[in-house]
Amino acid sequence: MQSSQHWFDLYDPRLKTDPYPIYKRLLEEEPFFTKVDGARAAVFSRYHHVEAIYGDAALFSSVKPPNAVKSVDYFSGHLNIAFSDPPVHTRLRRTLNPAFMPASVARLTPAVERAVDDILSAIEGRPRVELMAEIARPLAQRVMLGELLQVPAEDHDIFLDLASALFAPGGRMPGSPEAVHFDRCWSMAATYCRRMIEAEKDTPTDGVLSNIVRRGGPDGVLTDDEVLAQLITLLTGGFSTIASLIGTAFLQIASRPDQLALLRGDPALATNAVEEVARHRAPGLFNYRFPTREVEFAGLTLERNMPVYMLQGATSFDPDVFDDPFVFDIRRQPKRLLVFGHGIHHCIGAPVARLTTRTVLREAVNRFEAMELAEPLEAIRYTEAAQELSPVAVPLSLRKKG
Amino acid sequence: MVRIRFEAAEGTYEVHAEANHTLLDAALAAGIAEIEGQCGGFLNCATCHVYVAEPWAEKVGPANEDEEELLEGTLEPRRATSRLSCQITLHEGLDGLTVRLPRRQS
Ligand code: HEM
Repeated sequence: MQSSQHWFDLYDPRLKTDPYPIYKRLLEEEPFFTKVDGARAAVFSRYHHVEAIYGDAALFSSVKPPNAVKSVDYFSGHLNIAFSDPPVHTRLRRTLNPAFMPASVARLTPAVERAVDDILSAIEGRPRVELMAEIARPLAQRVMLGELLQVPAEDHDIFLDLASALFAPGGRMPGSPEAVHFDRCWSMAATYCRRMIEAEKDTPTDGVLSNIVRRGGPDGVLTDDEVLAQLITLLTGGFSTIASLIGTAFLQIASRPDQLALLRGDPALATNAVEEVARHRAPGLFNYRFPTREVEFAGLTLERNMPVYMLQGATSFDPDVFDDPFVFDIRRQPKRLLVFGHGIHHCIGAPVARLTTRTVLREAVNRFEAMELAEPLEAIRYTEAAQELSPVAVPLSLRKKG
Repeated sequence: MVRIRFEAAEGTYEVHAEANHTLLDAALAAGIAEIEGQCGGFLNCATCHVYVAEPWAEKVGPANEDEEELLEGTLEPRRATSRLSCQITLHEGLDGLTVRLPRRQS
C-alpha cells in the first residue's frame, strides 16, 4: 500500500490561490494515505468516490471521534447537525427543511432583490468599491440574519462576533485567550437565542424558528438545547459562506472579459454562471468522514475512525464527469456538483446561497457598463479559515450605465 | 429494461432505464435538465418533483410520509399525483410509465 505520499498538504495555500495543478495531480493519484495534523488519513478526490462516501452515512460517519480533526473543530463539541448521524440527524434535519424548500426560497426572492437593490444603489456612483465589505458581507448578513432569521439589524454583531470566533484559524487551546473569547461570544449568542426561543413559544410565528421549535421527529419535538444548537448553526453558518461565494463569483467573472461579455449579453445566464463559479472554485475546500468499521474502499483499507478527507473542489474537474473540465464557460450545461455535499447532509442553504449570488451578479451587470478587478487576480488574498475559500478583499472598478 | 416517458414543456424524452434503479437515476442518466435532484436522491431537497400521468398513478402508488412533507415545498404546485422521483423504484410492472415534468425545480 502507498503510505508516504507527502507531496499533498491539506493546508497548502495554493489550494486557494491556484488549485488547478494540485487538483490535476490529485485526480491522477488518488486515493492515497497521507498525514493531516500528524494523524494518518485517507484522501479522495474523484467524483464517484466522493459521491459514494457522502452517500453512505452508515459506513462513513459525520460524528467526530474524540480528539479527531481538532484544527477545524469549530463548534467545540457543541451539538451541530452537520456533525451528527441518523437518527439524531434525521430529527434535526426535519425541523430545518421546510424553510429551505424550493417554494420557501422562491418566496424569499423579492426580499433578496430589495436587499441587492438597496446595497447597489448606495454605491452606484462610486468608481471603485471593495466588494467584500461594501456588497458581499452586508448582503449576506441582511439575507441570512435579517430576512431569513428575522434578527433586528442592531443585534447582528452578536452573531458576526460569534462566527468570527468560531472560524478563527489556529484552534482554541483550552484556557487560551481565544477560548475565553469564544466562550464569551457563545454565551452572549446563546442568551440571545434563548430569548428568541421563548418569544417564539409565547407568540408563534410561521418563520424558520417556528419549525425548529414545533416540528419534531417520531420521538417528539426538539429539546431546548437542540433548538438552540439549530439556531446557532443557522445564525453563524450562513452568512460568511454566502459572502465568500459572492466574492469568488465577482473575482472569476470580472477577471474574464469574454465571460463578462456573455453575461452582459444575456443576464439570465447568471444562474449558470453561479454553477460554473462553484464548479471551478469550490467555496468549501474539503470535508471529512470517519469509517464506522475497517473497510476496503476504492483500493484502500480504511481503518475504523480514521479521518477520510474529501477534496470536493477536485471532483468538479473529474474527466469522467465533466468535459474539458479546466475550461471556464458559463454556457456549460450544469451538472450536479458535489461542492454543496451530497446525500443526507446535502447543504440546506445552497438554494439561498445560489439565489443571493445570482441576483447580485445579474443586477451588477445590469447597472454597471464596466466592471473590472482593480487589482490583479494574483494579488487577491484569502482568509486563513482552513476549509473556506473566502477572499479578504475584492477591489472593483465600476462604471455606471448611461 | 423499463421504458419511461418524461413529458416536459420543451419536448418529450423516451428513456430506457434499469429495473431497481430509481426514476431519478433514470432522469439523471439521460441528462434530463428539468429534473435536478440536488441532494442526489436522499429525500432532502424536493428538486426531483414529477407529476405521474393519471393512468399510472395507482401502479406507482402514493407518496410516503416523509415525502409528503417535502412535497409541500416543491416550487411548482403539488397536485394529486405529485411524487419525488427519488422515491420511485422502477420495476418491470412500470414499463411504459409516463410522467410530466414541472418547468422548473428550483
Ligand atoms: C456557498 C455557500 C455554501 C457552501 C459551499 C456550503 C457547503 C456545504 C457542504 C459541503 C455541506 C455538507 C456538509 C457535510 O456533508 O458534512 C453543507 C451542509 C450544510 N450547510 Fe452549507 N454551504 C453553503 C451555504 C450555506 C448556507 C447559506 C447555510 C445556511 C442556511 C448553510 C447551512 C448548512 C447546514 C445547516 C448544513 C448541514 C446540513 C445537514 O447536516 O443535514 N450552508 N454546506
